[in-house]
Amino acid sequence: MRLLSLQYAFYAFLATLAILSAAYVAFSRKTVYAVLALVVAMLSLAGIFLLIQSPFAALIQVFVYAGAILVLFLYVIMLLNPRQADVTIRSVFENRGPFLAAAGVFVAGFFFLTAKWLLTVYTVERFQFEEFSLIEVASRLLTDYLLPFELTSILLLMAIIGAVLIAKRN
Amino acid sequence: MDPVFFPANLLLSLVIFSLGVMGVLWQRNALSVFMSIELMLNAGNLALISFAQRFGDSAGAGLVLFIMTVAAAEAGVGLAIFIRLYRQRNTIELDKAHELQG
Amino acid sequence: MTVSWPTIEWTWAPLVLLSLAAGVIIAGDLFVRATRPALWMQLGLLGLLAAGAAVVLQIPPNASAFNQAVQYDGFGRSGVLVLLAGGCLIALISQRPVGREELPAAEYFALLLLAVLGLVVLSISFELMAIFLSVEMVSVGVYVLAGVRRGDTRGSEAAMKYFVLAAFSAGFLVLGLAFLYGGAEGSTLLGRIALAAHRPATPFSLGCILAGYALTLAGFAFKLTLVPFHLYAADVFDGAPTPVAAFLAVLSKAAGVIALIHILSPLRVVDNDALQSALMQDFTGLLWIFAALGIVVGNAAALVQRRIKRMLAYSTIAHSGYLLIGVLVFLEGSVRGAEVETAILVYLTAYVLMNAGAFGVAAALGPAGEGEIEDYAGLARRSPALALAMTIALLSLTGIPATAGFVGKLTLFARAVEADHIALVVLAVLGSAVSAYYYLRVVVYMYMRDSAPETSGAEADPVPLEFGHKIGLIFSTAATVFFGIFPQTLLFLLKIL
Repeated sequence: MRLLSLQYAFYAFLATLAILSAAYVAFSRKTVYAVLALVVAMLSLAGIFLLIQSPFAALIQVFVYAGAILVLFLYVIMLLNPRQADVTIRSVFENRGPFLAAAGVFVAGFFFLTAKWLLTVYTVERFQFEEFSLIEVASRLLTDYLLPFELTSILLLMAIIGAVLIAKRN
Repeated sequence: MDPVFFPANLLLSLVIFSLGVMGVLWQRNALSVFMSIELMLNAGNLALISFAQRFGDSAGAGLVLFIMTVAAAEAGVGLAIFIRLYRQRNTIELDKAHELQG
Repeated sequence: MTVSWPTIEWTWAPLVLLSLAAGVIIAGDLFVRATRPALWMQLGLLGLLAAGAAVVLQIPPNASAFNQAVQYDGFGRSGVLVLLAGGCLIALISQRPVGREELPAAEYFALLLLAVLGLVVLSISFELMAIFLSVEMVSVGVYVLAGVRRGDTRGSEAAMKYFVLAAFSAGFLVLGLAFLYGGAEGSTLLGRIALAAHRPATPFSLGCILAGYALTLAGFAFKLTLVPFHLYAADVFDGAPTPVAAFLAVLSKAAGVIALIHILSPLRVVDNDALQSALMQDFTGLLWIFAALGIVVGNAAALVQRRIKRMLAYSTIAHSGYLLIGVLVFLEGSVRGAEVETAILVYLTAYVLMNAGAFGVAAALGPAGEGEIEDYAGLARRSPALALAMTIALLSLTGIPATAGFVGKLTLFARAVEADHIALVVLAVLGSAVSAYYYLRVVVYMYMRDSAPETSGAEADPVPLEFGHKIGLIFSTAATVFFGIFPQTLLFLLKIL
């Protein structure tokens, strides 16, 4: 029981950390700090993945997200020079009013419905749980999910060609 | 996995997702907007993995891998677009130099 | 002892052929010194045609693979053929811009092929993860292609706008598919989701499915430029190279409609359980609003546009409103599904042909054809053939009888009337009447106004049109007229192929 409550405390800590750093990412104007906050958010999510006994997901969360994608972000910020990296997109949504209103209405409606459903309908229940080995994950990927698996290779090829094509100097 | 974690995870993922949506609408810097989008994807991942553990689907972690691949591909191309735009403008004031009328 | 040869899995064939062609183009570019846009285009066409041939000859209707994850149902299979044909047209009308060396030829055609591959997967997959990945393939392809024009800031800006919004909508799609996955108790197959939607194990899983569909619909609304989510379209179309805008307008929307039908098909009413129909009413109501808004806003906004591609962008928004009527009728299930699907296919075919014609003429004219509508003044005198092609495409977009656009609208609206959607049909017909103003305005400019003297010299393009580009325009124009006069042939083709 004590171990269990320790687990809860750990979860609460990680979840709070994730929410706080996500809020920083969403509302801060300081890009470099926001990247670091995003790293914190992703690492705490990786911790939560460990807590719910999905170590493989935790591992790739750290490798791919915190390791690769966010380092790419930092490089780009460095390239653009943080003081000037203010690539504002105000002009992109010049008339943001209707867009914001529509999106706001949609988001509010959606969250109202979802929260209602989740809170009224769900009751905590015991369920069977088993931890899966990496072999099982891999064999599912190469059988049932073979098509998406192959598609990722094409997607990455497109991304490589595209990134080179776009970023190279004329 | 402790059963209590499942609803907790779903709520957490909704909170992070909505923070991401708000960030996209709130931020003006393209990089920050993109980071908020990454938050949304992460929230999706969290929900996905929680459902997978709840219903005992062994492919769950693999599905998360797919979504991360997409995130990586988008990050690569998207950041390249930012760099190109920044170079062409050679300025920080995108507001002044926009050509497409909104 | 007999040697057993491995059997060919034909359901893969179109995908393999397309990626093979793209690979050959990319690899070939390393070895061929000179830039050879025509060669790469021909290779691309070869890939597209081979994929089409594989579908027609080797894949019977209702072939499936991967435990129902991939299904060539009649609708998706014909949809693949329409998309491949549309891909050929887009490749052909890319020839002028690529030939001017505005776009890097090999990479352009390779990415185009891979994006078409994404569309093909999108219209045959019945599994959420493959659907999501193929949506992303199309998006990645489009924002690279939108931004590659050399020394062009408008294209980069268009690419960035499309990128930010596509990534935003991908966020919605991811959470949506996570909830659908949860609602189906750990499966991403649409068949399992259908089971869960009709006989939910718990109210919780039904709630998850509802939430998942709401989010997925939001994600798709961006791709289909449904009305509250349409604001990027005009800017992106205007800034992107014209054939890329055509791809975005025509093919990605057509594949989006096909995928939307597949994704929403689990919700289709099959029996009259109360829970189910309550859920359905919300969704059909939502689609009704989307369709009506698309028709009203698209047509109204197109009226005031001064730039040709912005006008076409709003016109496609109106057309997705019309298409959504078809989706709505399909979903309600009061009309037989196969009939609605045929009507949508007819509409999509017409839509692909006439838009390929309109965008093809704009691409053929180069900078003079991509700007203001006023620049089209006097086109009938300068190049009568292009003016004729444009006129036919625009008449068809309006829905004038004896064009494919008319046939498409007629079949689609007939199904809607059958399903008692009189109000929507009236709205759509009124919208079409309004649309005549902005489409025919271009025709008036081409035939009745003389070009302003100071611009006419600059506009005259001495280079004759490339052969492939001509073929693309001739084919789309001829088919628009032919299917308009003999609509039975289109139905026949859809049936036998």
